Amino acid sequence: MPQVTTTFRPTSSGTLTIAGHRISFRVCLFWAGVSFWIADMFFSTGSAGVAALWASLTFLAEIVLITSATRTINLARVAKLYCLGGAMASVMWVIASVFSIFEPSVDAVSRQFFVPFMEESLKLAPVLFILWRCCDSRRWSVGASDVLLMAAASGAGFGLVEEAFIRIHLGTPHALDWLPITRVNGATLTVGHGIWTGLCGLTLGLALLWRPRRPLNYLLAGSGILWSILDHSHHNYGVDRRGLSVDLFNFITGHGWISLYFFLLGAIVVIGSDLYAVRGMLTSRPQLKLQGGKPPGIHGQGDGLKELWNFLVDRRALAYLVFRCQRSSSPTKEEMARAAAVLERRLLKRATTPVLTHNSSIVAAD
Amino acid sequence: MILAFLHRRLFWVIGGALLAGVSVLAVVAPVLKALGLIHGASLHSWLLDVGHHLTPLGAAGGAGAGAGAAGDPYPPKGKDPDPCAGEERAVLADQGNVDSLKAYLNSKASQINALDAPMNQLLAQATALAPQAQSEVEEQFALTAITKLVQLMAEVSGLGEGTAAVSGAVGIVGDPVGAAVGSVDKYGVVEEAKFLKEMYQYFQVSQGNLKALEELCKENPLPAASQFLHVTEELNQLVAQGYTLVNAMNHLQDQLQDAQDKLNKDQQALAECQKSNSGSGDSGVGGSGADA
Repeated sequence: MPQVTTTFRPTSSGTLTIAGHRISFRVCLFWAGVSFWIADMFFSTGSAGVAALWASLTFLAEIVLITSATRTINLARVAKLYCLGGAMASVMWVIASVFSIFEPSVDAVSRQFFVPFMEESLKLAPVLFILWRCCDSRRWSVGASDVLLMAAASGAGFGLVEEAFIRIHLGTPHALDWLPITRVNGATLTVGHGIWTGLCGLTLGLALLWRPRRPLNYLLAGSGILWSILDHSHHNYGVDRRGLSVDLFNFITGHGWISLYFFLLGAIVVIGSDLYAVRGMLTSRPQLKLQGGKPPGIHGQGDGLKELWNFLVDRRALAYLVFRCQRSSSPTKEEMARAAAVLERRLLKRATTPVLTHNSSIVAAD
Repeated sequence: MILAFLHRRLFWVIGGALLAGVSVLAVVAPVLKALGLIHGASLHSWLLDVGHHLTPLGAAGGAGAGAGAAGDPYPPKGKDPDPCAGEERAVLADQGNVDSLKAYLNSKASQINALDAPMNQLLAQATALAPQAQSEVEEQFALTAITKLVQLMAEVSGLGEGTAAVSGAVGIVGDPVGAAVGSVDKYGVVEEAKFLKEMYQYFQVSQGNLKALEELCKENPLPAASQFLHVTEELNQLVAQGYTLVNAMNHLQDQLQDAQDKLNKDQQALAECQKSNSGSGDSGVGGSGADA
């Protein structure tokens, strides 16, 4: 049986009353935490913090925009990943401080390789944690775009405060048009934490969606993080060094530009893969096609955009689930088929029952 | 001796590997040298190292980020939780199970259907060859084996046209999942698939005789009997396939019955819940929560 989750949210309990308004405790916690985080950064870095926040959010908005036709996760999830990335930066600061006790020199070769490895791993950790924590049926219905978006959010959150401090020390960087988190230094391009982790996420997402055979699946899933560690190490190792090893690094990474090309190409492949999965599902289930721009069954009844969006998101989730099911073997295949049947039932029920409230969810998207 | 060594494969493999290594170096080394001449050092002078840049105060902000991640950015929408939401989800999950089991049954039935044409063809061939084969053999066991097989084929063919009898009895061929919803009893007659069962049992029992007939055909020139035997072997394979499918369908049918029972029970629980909570708000499922 597919795991069915319940997502009741506290209403009468777990609330705070502020100026006569009852507000959920978790909402208060979110905004208080984020306010502290951002205010602390502004206090420490001033206008550089504002610029870093702008660059980071612009990058994230771009990824949200380009994945809007394929993603199934909501903006609340993206915001959480962004915060988790920020929290991981502090964890990394603690780890680096402990490392400094044993190796005080920031120029030490060991540090130039240890720090990139740890930073890239910590940035991806929240994504892996969320994928591991959610129930099977939800994990099976995640698209490659979702993993890309979650990873990019975590990376952008991680790099936010560091970028603000770099800006305050080194001034405003030259960035690529449309990608303000990048930094151009002569021939070298630093793509930034958001894009590095995005690369990790997109290869992981593609491996989870296409499910190639072993060992190709591990190779594909791990290639993103391996490349990011390599490029990050190239960046840190090359500072104030010269010689064959630096040249070799520059040669392999194309002075950091190859990461950008990989990311752009990978993003296109990710979105293309997700759209391909949706198209394949609609071919076999024409009853789920929109009718006159509305979900089937409620055509002409004037249901809102929100209902349409929810229908589209669930339809995508079904498409990814069916896509994975076709590439799986027993007994996972059977479990997936059952989860797909439940999701399809829900979609058809939604289509034929226009008036629904959304207090609960099966195979919860969030 | 040198010439003999030149003819050995190992020499060429080692030579080729050395040449490849030198060629790669010849290409890469000048590129690296050129890069070194242009910029022997990296063109940036700052690290991407959180521990290097952040002050303790800056790092403290991460605690806020962590707290933010534990919260929710916007308040929950909707009214009080639906008291029957759990029952609704259970019904939905049961319906999904029933749907998928019916889809499996349909798939197995289609596979049995696919055996229909080749099996009928083999039956016709075997029936046509039987008189000639009987006239060729003299041994009693061989005559018995052929006669029994022909009799059985005539008997079970009366059930219908080959495996069409099976799928017809099962009643699910071409029945889409949606159309068959709730009609579990349609699947209750898989055991009536006499054709496959009887043929399978016959082949199991007559294995000794058929083996002996095979030996006989090898030792003596019996063309019609050999051909008959060959057709019979092919038929045996198809029957074994079909029998396995029928067994799988029986197993699925049991599962479907259980799933249907659970669905009925959960539907009843839902009805009772809705009755006891009537007037306390509407219920529903769905809502991925994803926003634009």
